[in-house]
Amino acid sequence: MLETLEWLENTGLARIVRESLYGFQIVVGIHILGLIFSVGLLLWMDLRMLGVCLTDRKLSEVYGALSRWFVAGFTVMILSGATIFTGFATSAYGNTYFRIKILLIVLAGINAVVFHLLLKRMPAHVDAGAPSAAVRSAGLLSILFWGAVIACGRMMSYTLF
Amino acid sequence: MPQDLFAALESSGFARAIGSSLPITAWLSAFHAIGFTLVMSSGLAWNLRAAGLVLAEVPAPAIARPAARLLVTGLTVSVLTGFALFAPRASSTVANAAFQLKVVLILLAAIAQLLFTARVLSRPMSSAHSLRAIGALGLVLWLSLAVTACWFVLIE
Repeated sequence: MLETLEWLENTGLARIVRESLYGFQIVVGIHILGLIFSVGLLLWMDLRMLGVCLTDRKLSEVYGALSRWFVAGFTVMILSGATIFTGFATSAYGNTYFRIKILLIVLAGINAVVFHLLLKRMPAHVDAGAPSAAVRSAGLLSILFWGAVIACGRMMSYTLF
Repeated sequence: MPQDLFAALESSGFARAIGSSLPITAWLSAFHAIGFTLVMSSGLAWNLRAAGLVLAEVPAPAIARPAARLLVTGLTVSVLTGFALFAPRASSTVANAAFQLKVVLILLAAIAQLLFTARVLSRPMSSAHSLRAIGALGLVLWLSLAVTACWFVLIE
């Protein structure tokens, strides 16, 4: 594992991130913009799942309207995050907050995939009506997971470099 | 005079307690980032809707109200944690161009959003053109704020 991480750190991309004048700043900036579009807009879906807002709209309707935006945001965030990782792979791998962050992203991803599959089979009255306990739980878990991911990301800045 | 105020703030027990503790600073920064995400979530969703880019079939007040609540919640978290982070380095931070721009943009964007929200709630039949203009202006302000916030974080 360590050899792979060291190899990653010696790639051209990793050197650009680590050594160029503005490489790190630009990739981190793109990462934060991706985060704003992904988590920022996903939050509205989570709040609808909790029954806090947009309750007169179907869950599937809100999901359909927002999903392409937050999926695009997540794509940008994951690609830029992977790029930053190449520059500091060995130290990130040993960082506790990085490990917690990756675990939380996986859990948030599983929560999202399960909800996506359930949404396809959801009866019309559940889709349009007050959210069930399962839907509320999925919404709350999503907010907690992503909030903790953001917190771990900031903690990494203070413990990694 | 303001310099004396900032110096007094820096030498306060509150500021020294934060400045001397990396874990406290890191956790404050983590909650500041969460508050900032709430603020940006509100600004993005409301202005994308106003510009007709998302949830265009949803009446504007149905987005404007929860967006305003989200904005106030996010601003409360951001301002409280931001002040705690600012206190130990008040003099140098206030002289920082990125910080100055960030404060101006957040004030402009938040005031504009709350004013436009009040207008949309009092006159729900606002024309699509004026809503689009509001949305486009808001998006420019909020995305400029996001870029400035990144700049400030990276030079800090």
